[in-house]
Amino acid sequence: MYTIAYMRYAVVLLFFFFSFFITAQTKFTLSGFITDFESGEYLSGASVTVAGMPLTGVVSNNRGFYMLNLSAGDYVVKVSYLGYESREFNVKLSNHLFKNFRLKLHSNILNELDVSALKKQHDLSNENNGAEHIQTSEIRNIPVLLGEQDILKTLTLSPGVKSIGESSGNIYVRGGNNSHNLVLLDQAAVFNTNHLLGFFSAFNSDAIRDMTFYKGTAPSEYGGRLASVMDIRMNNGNNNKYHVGGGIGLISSRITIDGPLVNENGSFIVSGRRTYADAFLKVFSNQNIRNNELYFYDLNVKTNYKFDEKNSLSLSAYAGRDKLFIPGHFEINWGNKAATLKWTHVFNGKLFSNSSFIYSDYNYKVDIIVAPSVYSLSSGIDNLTIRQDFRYYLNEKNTFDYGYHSTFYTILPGKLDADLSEIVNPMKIQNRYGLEHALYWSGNYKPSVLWNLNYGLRISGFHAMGPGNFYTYNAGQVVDTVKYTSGKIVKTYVVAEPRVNISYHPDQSRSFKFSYTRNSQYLHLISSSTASLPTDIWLVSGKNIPPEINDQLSLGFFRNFKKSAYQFSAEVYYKWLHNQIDLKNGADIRANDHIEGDLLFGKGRAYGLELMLKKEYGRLNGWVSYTLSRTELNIDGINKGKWYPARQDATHDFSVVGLYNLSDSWSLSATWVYQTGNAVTFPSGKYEMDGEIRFLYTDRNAHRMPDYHRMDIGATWKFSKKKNYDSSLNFSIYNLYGRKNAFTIDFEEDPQDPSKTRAVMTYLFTIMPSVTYNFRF
Amino acid sequence: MINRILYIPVISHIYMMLLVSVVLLSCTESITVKLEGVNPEIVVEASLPESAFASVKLTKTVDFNVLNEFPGVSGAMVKLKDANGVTEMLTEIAPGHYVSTVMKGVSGLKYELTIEKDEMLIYAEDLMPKPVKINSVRVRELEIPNGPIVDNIVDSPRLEVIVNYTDPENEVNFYRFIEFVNGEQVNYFLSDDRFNNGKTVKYFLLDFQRRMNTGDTLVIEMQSLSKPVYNYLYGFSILNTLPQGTTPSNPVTNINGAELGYFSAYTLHRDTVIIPEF
Repeated sequence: MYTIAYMRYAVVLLFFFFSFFITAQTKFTLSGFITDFESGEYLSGASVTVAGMPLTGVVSNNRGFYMLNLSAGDYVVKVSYLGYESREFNVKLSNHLFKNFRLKLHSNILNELDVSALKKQHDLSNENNGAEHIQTSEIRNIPVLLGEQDILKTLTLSPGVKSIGESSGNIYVRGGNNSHNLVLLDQAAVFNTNHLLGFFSAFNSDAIRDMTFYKGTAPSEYGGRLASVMDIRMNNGNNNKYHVGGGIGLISSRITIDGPLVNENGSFIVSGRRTYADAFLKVFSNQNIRNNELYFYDLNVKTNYKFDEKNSLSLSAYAGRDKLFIPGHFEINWGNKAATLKWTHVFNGKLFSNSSFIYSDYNYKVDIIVAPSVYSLSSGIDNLTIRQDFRYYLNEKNTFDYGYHSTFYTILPGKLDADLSEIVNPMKIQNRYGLEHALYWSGNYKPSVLWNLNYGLRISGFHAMGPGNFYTYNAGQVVDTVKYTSGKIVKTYVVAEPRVNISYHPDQSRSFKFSYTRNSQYLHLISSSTASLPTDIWLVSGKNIPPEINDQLSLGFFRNFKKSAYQFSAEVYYKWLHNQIDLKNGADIRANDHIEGDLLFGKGRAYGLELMLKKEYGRLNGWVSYTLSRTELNIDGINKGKWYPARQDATHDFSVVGLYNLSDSWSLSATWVYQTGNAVTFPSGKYEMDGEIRFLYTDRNAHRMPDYHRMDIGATWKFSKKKNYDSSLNFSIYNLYGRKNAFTIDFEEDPQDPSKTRAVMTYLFTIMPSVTYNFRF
Repeated sequence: MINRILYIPVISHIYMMLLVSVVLLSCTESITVKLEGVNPEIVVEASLPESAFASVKLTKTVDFNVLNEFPGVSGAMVKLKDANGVTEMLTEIAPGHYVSTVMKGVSGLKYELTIEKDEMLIYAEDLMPKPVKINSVRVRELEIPNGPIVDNIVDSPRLEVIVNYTDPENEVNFYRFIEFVNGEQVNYFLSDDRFNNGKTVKYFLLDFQRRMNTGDTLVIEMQSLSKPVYNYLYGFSILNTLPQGTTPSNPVTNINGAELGYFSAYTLHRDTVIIPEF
């Protein structure tokens, strides 16, 4: 018996090796990196085709890597990328060959129809449903508030992605919360992506190269958030020449320096931005106001060094901070820090490794100044992550990604320092600790040109860790307290997250996609406000908080028209959300050690249809996108157990983006957005209490804000385009037709007539022109 | 020295108002919002001060767009009972306004309130805390930067009011400060001892809209509240009324059988200041 089983096993194994051997015998791999000729930056999404073999072709991955399996022989390999000159290389293949290609930027992008068409085909066959790639260079001309280019703001013009007016930087993806977005900056998690209450994002576009955005099924290497992944990567800097670039705008100035390091084997970039919102305060005659400080800054630094063809190291760092200082009274400041050290190793043409060591934190601090002493209240979250990612190209049909990562979180919920004080007691809410692990495996299988199967499994696990006192609640009251020492595990959760993406391309111009994904989230953001205030608090899963879980099904149809000049896409999705969290009415999140007793749990559902028509090249390009969607919650203890719309629920969301290249020196742009007002709770009646008028509230989120719409226009004038010096002026008008979009609607006693009450709308920005000067030499 | 730590809940508010009003140039206008009415609900405002008679006001809610006239609920049976079993039926002295004529509040005692009318049965209880006294009240010119935070038309000096009291160390305390100007209630403030248990506190009554003139009489009434009452009133406080604050809701009441209102058995201490010339 044993022998037979063994024999069978051996035969199977032998067969496997044999077939593998055969493949390896007859075919060789041609692989390498595709980079920008000038800057040495990796180009992802470049296409590599072989003359005379129309079915053989690949697209470089997000690390700029490509791989082809070919029999021995001589080939003409064509490498193309949008905006770059296509090049042909003669390759003689008699063994595995590792070959890098460098492409030059095209002098005139407009005529490069060929390249664009190639990119379109790539988009169509892109394995992922609900994935989008945005380069900062592509969004330069889109008009924005006060001329501050912003990759996150531009993202909200895509279907399935919405913001609520300009009043908060929160981004809601397919019904998810803002805290359900995984925002990575060179792999480091950024916990608060907002500056100035969300009018600007933390990402200085000069320092950012691109973003890959997933709203559907993200590859298994990503996890830990329910709704989306925004994988943002910094510029590497030019490894051939030194450059200085920058800009001067109404609200901020920017400067970037980049260049080569050590014989072009490395490069660096340093980019800084500082706003001067407090300059506006100087117009006030009141000394108290003029001396206030109000600003934010960002600093991005990245350097990388290539030791040899197979080993390279990169270090990225980011720091950004907001500050408001009112002399003699208080100072409030908050911000993120992030740093990533990454070692990339190529074992051979088939196996890649990325090893990363990552740190990031977010904290805020309020200093209350009462001379001679200062008290401060602070709160924050930090994390240390190690990651090991592998990519293995077995053959042209199969690619595997697998790896492991582990993150240790420390949360400081609140601390009051009062050393010199006689009138307040120093206090500290105990820190919370969590250890998150993930082990993932995903494969891409391309059985034929018609089909692509992307499958994966991510096993995530979370330990709530000591030290600390851990409470058990009953109806919000502590009924049991257990003390854990350092390193002791308080509670463990494990979630298996399967992911599947199937795409079918019956011909060159059509494709159908299906995907299913499960995501879990062990970090939860508790907010006292729907605006993005810096004082929001993160909690980790533990005894009282189970992980939030999301199951999503999506279907997509993609179609190209007129030789890929137009792309159309339609996607539908349905999400089941489990263990959604809300605060009890009247809960106080300030320095509250028992905040977990004030939480309510329930479920959610979100579904929608997303349509998009895009024209990506030509003199006139742009897109139209429309989303029809619904997001509802059902939480025990809210709305008497009935389903109610989530705040971010918007039935219709419509965006139009148009860009027009008038001439070599002038380009024009316009955007228009329209969305149904978000769900809000307005009073259903009023009563008198303690001599004041109070409002009666009934169903939660049963009302709507007025519909939001706005048009922005912009123009860019490149008045000097020389070999070594570029400069341009960007003009924009935000909210061209002066729509009064409601920021808030408040209800109050009428000051003119105390026998009445009235509703008052506050709106920001009617017509907001701006001008920005940009340069690079 | 002023205990500015207690500003923390309003700092975000100040920050936002500063941004909104200065940097972002906001504007406001009155609008009409279509609000559907609901069936009137009963509102209970029941108080029992230390060494004073109980007062229970029963009113009904009205629709948002009508005048601020709230009908009283007459003919209810309102009964007050203390922990010693002493009971009194309250007397209706005006439509919907019921008072005790015998029973007065005593610190440390638990009280029960029962209200019956037709099918309606309302029950509430509250424990009167120990009294805490005001050491002093001081009035001075406002130090918080004004201007962008409030409108600039100033005809009288902006004043700030500071209440000095000593928080008892061995108990958890909840306070309400009511401000009366020339006999009229103008505002109230809430505080607890989370940050300053056992300290002598200088509590800053933050009000940017305050209008007082030289010679006005300012009375500060300091109340010690039970935790449920504090929580109820806190539900109306600034955190719930921030621009874009949490989803508004009716605060969680300590009354069973009604959703709106509270029953507070509290101690009180008053101090009076005549506004000097600045």
